Amino acid sequence: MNTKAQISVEFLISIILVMLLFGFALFFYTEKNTEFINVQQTSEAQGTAQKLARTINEIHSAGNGVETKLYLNEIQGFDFNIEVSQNKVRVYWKDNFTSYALTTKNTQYFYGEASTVWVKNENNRIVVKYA
Amino acid sequence: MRENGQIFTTDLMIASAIFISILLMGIVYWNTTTNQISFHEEANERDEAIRYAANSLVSTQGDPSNWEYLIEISEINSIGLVSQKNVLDQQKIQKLIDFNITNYEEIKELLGITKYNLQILFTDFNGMVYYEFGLAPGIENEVSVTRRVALLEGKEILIKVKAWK
Repeated sequence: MNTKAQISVEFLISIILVMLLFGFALFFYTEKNTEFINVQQTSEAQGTAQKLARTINEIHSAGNGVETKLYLNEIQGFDFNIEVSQNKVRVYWKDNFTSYALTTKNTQYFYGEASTVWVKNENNRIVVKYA
Repeated sequence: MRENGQIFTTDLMIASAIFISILLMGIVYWNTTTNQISFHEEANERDEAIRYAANSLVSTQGDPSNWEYLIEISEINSIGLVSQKNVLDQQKIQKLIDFNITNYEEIKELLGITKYNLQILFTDFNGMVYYEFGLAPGIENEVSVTRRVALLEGKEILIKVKAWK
C-alpha cells in the first residue's frame, strides 16, 4: 500500500506538471495567435493606405492632367474605411487607423464602395474617385 | 515499484525541460523576427517618404505655383522648387530656407515627412553647400538619404534629402 501511494503522488505531480505545461503552451498560442491576427490586419491596412498614398504622390509629381486607375485589394476578414483628407491617407478598421502622409494638401476624395479608384491630377488638385 | 516511479518522473522532467527550452526558443525567435520586420518596415517607409518629397521638390512648382510670394504658410498646398522640371527657382529655394526658422514643422508636413526629422542640402558635386534646410542628423541616427540632380542658374547641383527619427 505504501509503495502504491508513492506512485500515486508521483502520478499526481506529473499530471499537474503536464497540465501546467499545457496551460502555458495554450496561453502562448492564444497570445501569439491574437498578435498575429493584429499584425496581419495592420499590415493589410497599411498596404492599402500605402498603395493609395504612393499613387497620389506619383500623380502629384507627374503633373496636371495625369490620371491612373488603381485596384485596391479587398482586405479579407475585416471591414475598413478609407479617407483622404488634406495631406493624409487614412485607413480605419475596428478602433484602429493607419495613415500615410502625402506631398500635397490639395486633395478631393469622393467616398465609395468599389474596389477600383481613379486618381487624377486636375489643375494640381488630386481627385480620388471610385470607379 | 518505487524505482519505476522515479524513472517515470525523471523522464517527464527531462521531456518537460526540452519542451520548455523549445518553447522559449520559439518565443525568442518570434520576438527577434518581429523586431527585425518592424525595423526594416520603418526604414522602407522612411526611404519612401523622402523619395516622394524629393520628387515633389524637383518635379513640381508647388501649389499654388507662386507659393514663394505667400506670407501665410497655411495657404500653401504643396512645396515644389522648380520653374520647370529639374530647373530650380532660386526664389523658391530662398523662401524654403526662410521658413526653416519659423515653420520647420509645417514644411515637413507639406512634404509628407511629419514623423521624421528632415534636412535638405543643396550642394555641388564636391560637397560644397549652397543652401541648407532643416536640422543636421547625429551620427547615432539611422538616416535615410535620397539624392536628386537639378539645374540652378545653368549649373548642375545635387539635392540631398535626409530623414531620421
